[in-house]
Parts: sequence; C-alpha cells; structure tokens
Amino acid sequence: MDIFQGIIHGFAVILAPAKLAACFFGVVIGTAVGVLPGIGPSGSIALLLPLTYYMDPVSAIIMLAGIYYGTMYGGSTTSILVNLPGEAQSVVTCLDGYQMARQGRAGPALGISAFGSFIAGTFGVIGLMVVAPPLAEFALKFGPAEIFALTILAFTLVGYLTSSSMIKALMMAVLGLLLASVGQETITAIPRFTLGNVNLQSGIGLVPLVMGLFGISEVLLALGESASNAEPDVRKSAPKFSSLFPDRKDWKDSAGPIARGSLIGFIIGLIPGGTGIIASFSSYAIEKKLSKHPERFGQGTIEGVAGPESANNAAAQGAFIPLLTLGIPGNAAMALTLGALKIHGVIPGPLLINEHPEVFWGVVASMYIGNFLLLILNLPLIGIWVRLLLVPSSILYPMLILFCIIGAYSLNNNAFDVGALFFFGLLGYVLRKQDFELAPLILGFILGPIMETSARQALIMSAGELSIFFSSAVSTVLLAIAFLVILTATCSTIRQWRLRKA
Amino acid sequence: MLAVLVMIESARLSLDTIHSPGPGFVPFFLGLSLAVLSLLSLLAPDRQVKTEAFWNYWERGRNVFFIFAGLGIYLLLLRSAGFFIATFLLMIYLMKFSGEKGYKRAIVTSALTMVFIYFLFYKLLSIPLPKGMVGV
Repeated sequence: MDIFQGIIHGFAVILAPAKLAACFFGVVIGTAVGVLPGIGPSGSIALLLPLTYYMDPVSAIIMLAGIYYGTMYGGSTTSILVNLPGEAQSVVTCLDGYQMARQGRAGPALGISAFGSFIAGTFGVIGLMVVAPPLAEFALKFGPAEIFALTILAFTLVGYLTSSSMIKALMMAVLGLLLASVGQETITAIPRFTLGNVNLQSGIGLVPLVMGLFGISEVLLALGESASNAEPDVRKSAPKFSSLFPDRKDWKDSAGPIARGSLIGFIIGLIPGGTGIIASFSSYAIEKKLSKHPERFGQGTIEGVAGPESANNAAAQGAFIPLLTLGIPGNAAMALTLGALKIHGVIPGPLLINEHPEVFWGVVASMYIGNFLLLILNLPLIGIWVRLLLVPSSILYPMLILFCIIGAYSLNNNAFDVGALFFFGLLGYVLRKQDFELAPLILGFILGPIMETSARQALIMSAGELSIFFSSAVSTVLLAIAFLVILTATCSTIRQWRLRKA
Repeated sequence: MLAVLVMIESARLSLDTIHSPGPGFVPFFLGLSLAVLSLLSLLAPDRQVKTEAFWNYWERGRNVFFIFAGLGIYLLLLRSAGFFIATFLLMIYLMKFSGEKGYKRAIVTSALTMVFIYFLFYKLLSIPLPKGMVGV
C-alpha cells in the first residue's frame, strides 16, 4: 500500500462515527489536561487507559493520541493569560506570551499559538506519513540482535535527554527492568520474585503501575505542596474571539519561527527521549539567537510564542514514528500508548503498517482531523477552558484518585490491583520527591521483556556467542551510538564533579 | 539493599552462563547494576544532602502521610464495608485533606459521585464493584 492509498484508507477508517467521537473526546480531554496544571499527558493517558478496554484498538489509540497532542495546544492558554503553564513544555510560552497579554495583545498571542500549533502539527503528520513507511520497511530486516541494540540505545537516549543525572536515569531504567521481570519467566515458566503471591504469577499489571506512578503520585505531589491562597483571576482574562486573529505584521514576524519550530520539533520528537520540553526550549534558544533584536525576547515578542508552540506540537507528532514503526516508545506517554496497544493485542513495530494498516493510517488520518478540531476548540472556546481553573482542587484531586481506584479494580475485579496502585503511588511520590525521572522506569518496564527475549533469542541463534551483537552494521552502529552517549554523559559528569571540587 | 536482595533471589533461581542464561541471569546482573549505580549516586559530589530538621520534613509530608493512611484503611474497609460505603467515606476524607473547609459540600459531592458511579460503572459498564458484608 503506497502513501496515497494508505491515507485514503485512513480517512475511510476515521470517518466512522465511533472513531470521530474517540478523536473528539481525546482532543477535548487533551486540551483540558493541558490547561490544568498538575496533570500531564502521561497522567491523563494512565487514568484513561482502562476506558480503552471498551474500545477497539483503532479508537483506543486515536483517543490516546488526541490526548497527547491536545495537551500541547491547551498548555499555552493559561501560560499566556495568567502566567501559569499548564504543562512543562508551555513554560517557555509564559516568558513572552504573558508579557504580550499584559500589553493588551493576548488575542494575537493566543491566535498565533493556535495557528502555529496547527501548521506545525500538520507538518508533523505529513512527516509521519512520509518517514514512517520506509523506516518500517527498513526495520523489517531487524533481527533479535538489532532489536536488543535498539532497546539499549533507547534507554541511553531517554536517560541522557530527560534527566539531569544519567546515573539516576539508569537506576530508574534498571528498576523498571526488574519490575518487568516479576512473574513467570517466558522461556522456562519459573516464577520470579512473586513472593509466593498468586496475584503476581502473571507479573505486575501495567495499569496499576502507571496509574500509581503517574496518577496517584501526581495528586500526592500537588496535595503535599503548600497551596497558594491566591486564585488566578480568570473571569475577565479571556479576550474576545474577534481579537484572536494575528495581523499581517504578526504573521510576517511569525512565519520563520513557525517553519523552523516545526522542523526542529519534528526532528527532536523522532529521537527517543526527545520531548516537547526540549523542542520548545531549543526553538526559543534558536529564535533568540537568530533574531535581529534578541533583547526583545522576554518582553513580549511574538517570535517567542510562535516558535516554541510550533516546536512542541511538531515533536508530539514526530514521537509517534519510533513507536509505530520500531515499537520503541520515546517517552512515558508513548510507552503508555504502547501498553494500551498491547492490551488490545496490537504490537507496534515494523509489521504494524502491513498487519494492521487500519491502526497506522487511522491514527495518521485522525491527526489531520484532530489538529483541525483543536484549532476550532482553542480559539472560540478559550473562555471555557480558562474557567476550568475555577474547579476547586478539593474536588478535582479526590476525583482523580477515585478514577484511579476504579480503573485499577476493573482490570481483574481484584482488590490486590488497588493495593498495587497505592504502593506504586507511594513509590512514584518518593521517587519524584528525590528528583528521579519516571520515564526511564516506564520504558524499562515496557521494553524489559522485549530486551530480555531478543537478547536470549540472539544468543540461542548464535549458540551462545556474544559476537552476534556486533555481526551486523545496524546493531554495531546502534550500540556504538549508545556507548558514545554514555561516554559523553560520563565525561560531562566528571567535568562537573571537578569544577565543584575546585 | 533492594539490589542485594534481588541478587540473592536471582542466584537462587539459577544463573547458568552468559552463553546460555538461566532465569536468574538477567535479574542478577540488573541487581548488580542497581547496586553499582546506587553507590555511584551516593558518592556523587553534587548530591544534595537534605539537612532539614525532621520537624520541617514532617510539616511538608504530613498531608501525604495522612492521605496514605486513609488509603490504607480504605483498602481494609473495601472488603468489609463494600465499595460504595468505603469510597463515600474516602471521598469525604480526601476532600478534607485537599482543602475543603466545611462538611456539607464534601458530603453532597461524595453522595452525588456515588450515584454517578453506580449508574455509569455498575449499571452501564457492568463492572462488579465489591460488595461488603451489608451487600452494598
């Protein structure tokens, strides 16, 4: 199936009412999550994972994808209007966006943010459509050794890019791998680390783990911090619809940043560990560097909004490429999406486009429609989104915990899963308080079985010879890159240690 | 400590050799890696030692401690009192710790939430939520 046939097939899939409803629901939830500080895309995907049990795989991934790129749109609204970033990747937007709002230019800031996100998102989807099929074709030649090398590279990149400490990131990855080894071992069926508990025979459930680590811990972090008594005044802050359209000068100033942000974001999203945060910060730094008036950045310049907002949206689309074509999630949200697909018996990877074209092309087509829906949702309905901030936390957070409890229980109708949920909630809270990133842990948990199985298969094929991992150019290059990343991180750490001692 | 426990248990499962790994092989080396990384993390000069007084720690973590205590009691109540009664009480408890000032709104919100859950999850989605000794 070529690209043109594929996208036609995708639109044929997505234009069913149930799929459109899933797309709409996903982008609405995503926007709401983006607006509300405290709950990120990973947390919301974790919370809504049980809902996907009642859906077919295509609708499930369409909804989860909509949540993910929807948060990129929603996060900028409160950044601009009340200087309160809804998501980490919208922090940069606060710098210039809020200043523009203070100068009475909230409308153009919101408008260019939405239009820039739409253009970059569409660019990202086109990139996904063009890059993914040939990459999947190439990856079909991967054997167990190459898959093992790819998982090693994914861990090192995620650890290097998402955490300030490589050591801490690797600790989390190893912990995730250990958690994944609980249960019956795949080849010999011998139970490992089950502590004699029959509930652990089939391993730790993905849903209690992710809902606890992301959902419960996020609520605990929010409730554990001292809350400010000052509520942002959102009642009067939403501008009129007519003022949301940028003028000619705004478009002229934003064209370059949007184009550059789209490209930068897409490339960063492709790399495992490349998140919207990195994309938005990189774009801001580049725009400031290229600008003829860098002193204006931070004072309310539209380039400081257009570039980062475009970058984080393009990154969101790009992140689906390693997931769908290689089966390697690049961040926690993608890892959770992978988990959701596995629950439905769909294994993302090189065979996905051939074996489940409706999943791949359905997601791609849904992204076109989703980006368009988000543009409509984020401009005229801005006043409504901002009012979400008025929901008291005394109601919101208990509801989120309740959602987690029902989600965990409904998995196997077993109270043990609720206990596991609370345990991982406590673990997630403690780890986050100690500045450990959870993305490597989730990656380790999801990729652990793949990594162990591929390593053992490779060793069986080579009759125990380790040289199989260096027998092909692909696995050698992947392992070499992983080694270079570790070496770079180690040298950087040693340099920092020496500077601190001096 | 966790790493050492993992290594002991893995060795018990049989390691075999790197050329033909047994079920304990991978976890053993994961445990070893975790031990090494933990030591490196402890030795790192940029480790920020939190030297706050215990009282300050307790002040900040108090809310979380009580929420977790509540969740623990909830788990015990779930089987005896059933889902709806246990969750109704949990919601009120959590709302109070989330900053809710009075009891009236907490009770009304919890009751309405139970009604919503009953119709959506129990009736519509047919999720068999646990019944307690009173059959609720």
